[in-house]
Amino acid sequence: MSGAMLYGFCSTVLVGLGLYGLIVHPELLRKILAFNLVGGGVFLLFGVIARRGAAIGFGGDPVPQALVITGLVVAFAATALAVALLLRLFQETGRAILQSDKLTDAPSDNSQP
Amino acid sequence: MTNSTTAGGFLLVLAIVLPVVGVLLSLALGGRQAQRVAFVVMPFELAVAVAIAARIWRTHEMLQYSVGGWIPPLGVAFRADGLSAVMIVTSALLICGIGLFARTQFAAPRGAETRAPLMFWTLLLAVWGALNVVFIGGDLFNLYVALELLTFAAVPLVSLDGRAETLAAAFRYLLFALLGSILYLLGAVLLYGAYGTLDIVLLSGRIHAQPVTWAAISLMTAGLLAKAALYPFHLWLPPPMPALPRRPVHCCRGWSSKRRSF
Repeated sequence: MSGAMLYGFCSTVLVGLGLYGLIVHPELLRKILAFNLVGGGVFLLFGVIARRGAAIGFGGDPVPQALVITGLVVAFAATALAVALLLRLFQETGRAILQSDKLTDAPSDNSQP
Repeated sequence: MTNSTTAGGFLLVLAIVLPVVGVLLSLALGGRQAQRVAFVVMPFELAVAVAIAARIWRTHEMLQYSVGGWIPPLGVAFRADGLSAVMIVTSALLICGIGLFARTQFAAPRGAETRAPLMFWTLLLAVWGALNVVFIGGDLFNLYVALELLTFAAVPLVSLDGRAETLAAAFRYLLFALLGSILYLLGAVLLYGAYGTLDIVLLSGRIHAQPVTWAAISLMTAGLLAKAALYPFHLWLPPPMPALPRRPVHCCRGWSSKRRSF
């Protein structure tokens, strides 16, 4: 039980770190990585719940484990799509951040000198 | 009764399978045929949508199909009630309208095949299929996969013309959509942990107000709102635009199915 709790806390930390990175970093590659961090946290939570639902003869509830595999594939596809889009964006503009992020950052930098 | 396939259940499968077959055919036959495939699929799919709505109108019962004969605690069910029938018909009409409207802009070229028309028609069918899965999915995880499918089909559609600002808008949309769907998934896994099922109807029988339920519902609502609130960002995009505002309406459906569970 304490092991499951430990992994539960780990997944919470991962989700929190990922959310922070997703919101704070303007660089798009970091945002993609942060999204993967959140995803990792959520999938770890799936594992924790599978472990908690362990019954006689089973090391864990098989349903969340099946869901994790599907979720991993979906997250991988999302990452691939995002990286492809990022590469194309970089080819077109030479930048790897969104233009309007800089625009919205600029006034806030001026307003709090 | 609620756990088995009802008489018209195969219509629900057709609603998903037809666009997917269209997508595969478009990819296999190449750019010149993609538009033709889309225009062949459209009337059939519209007919299926109307048939679903008519059957529900007549019988006043939910259509249900259990995939592979597995009933919901273990299997995945497709369900259509009145609301989802209305949504299916609306999206069918909209996509047929988009197809007619975009016919000239994305007409198949005479000479060498180009990618834009092929991708447009293929992705339009993909969006359609994904929308139908969203509307009839009876399982929270199935809904998550359907929402991601919708994102994967809609993002390339947004960035189809390949200009820098279009790509940036598509990327912004993708980020919001990914954040939204991962929050939704977090809510879904919390619900599974608390109640041991992801099926919406089974869940509505077991769910009761406790902190984990509120946390899960608010995460899922926040996720769906993050996906939905984004559509004003690409108002400048003419043809695929009408495909995107479906999302807020879906959000309402997400709300209503959660509401039903209380």
